[in-house]
Amino acid sequence: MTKKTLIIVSALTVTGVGASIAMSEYSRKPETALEKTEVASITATDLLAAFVADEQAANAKYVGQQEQAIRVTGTIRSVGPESGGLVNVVLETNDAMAGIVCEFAKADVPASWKPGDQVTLKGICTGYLIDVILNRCGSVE
Amino acid sequence: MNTAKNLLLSLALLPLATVAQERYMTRTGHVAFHSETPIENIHADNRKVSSVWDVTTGAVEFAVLIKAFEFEKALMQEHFNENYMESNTFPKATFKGKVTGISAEQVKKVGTYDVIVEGELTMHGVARPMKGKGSVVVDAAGLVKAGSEFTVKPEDHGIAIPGVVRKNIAEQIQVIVRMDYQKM
Repeated sequence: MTKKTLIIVSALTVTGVGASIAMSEYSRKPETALEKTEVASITATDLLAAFVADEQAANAKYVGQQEQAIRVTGTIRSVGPESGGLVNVVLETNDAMAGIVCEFAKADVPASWKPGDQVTLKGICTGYLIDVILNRCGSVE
Repeated sequence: MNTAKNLLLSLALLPLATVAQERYMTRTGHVAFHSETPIENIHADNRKVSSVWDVTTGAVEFAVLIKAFEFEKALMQEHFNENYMESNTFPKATFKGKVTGISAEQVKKVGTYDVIVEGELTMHGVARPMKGKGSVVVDAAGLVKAGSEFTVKPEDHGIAIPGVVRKNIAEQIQVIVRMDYQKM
């Protein structure tokens, strides 16, 4: 192999690897909560209370600057129905008007889950409207 | 203070004594946006929209968590939150306005009604007037499905799109709103 050929092959290899990395990064799917290390573990009741008491502080801790997962334990208030391939599992709080709304891909909701069950899950906390919202949730059992 | 919650509850929990007001609500409304260019299409969905609609007065309010928009690609979601919407600084978008073209009585009757939605959209900390066409479908079970589509120009809300990606993002972003309301 001549020196010129070696340079061309090397350049093509570097370009190919670079393009592959760029394409991989461009196509990267958002991680589910189960793929992330949780930054906090809290009960559903305490999570709502934290947002009610000081939304800004709760946003800083549970939503974070970068997307992050939290572990939440609570009692199921309702499951479903499915919409757009997603299912909402709502956890009880001390406020009948507000809950922790946990969005699951339909396939990720344990079939046995029903209202009244005590469960632990991980979700990506996106903030607080009337409820506290967790996206891309997964069961931790 | 949770301004979005206050905004919604101010409408939802107004004293019922004055007029027989009828309000409908959802906490799982769907707002999507879509940008289409020859280079790439960008689509995101948020199915955690809270909204209250007082069908007696027509007043309607929405609140949306910006970080609850879900994209197919992680990179798009990261750029959306960090570079464009600055969702750590502006975590919510709200809409406060009025629905016209349908009466409280019609909301109780099966049918499809053309409506106009007009009000103020606050996004990225910038409030702008917004007006769009919509429809309300009332089915035999009494379910009230409301929908509207309109466009938003990012620059109108102080969202700067860098020149290097300007051709990747549509000048006018299509916004699709779908609400399945339940009577309060």
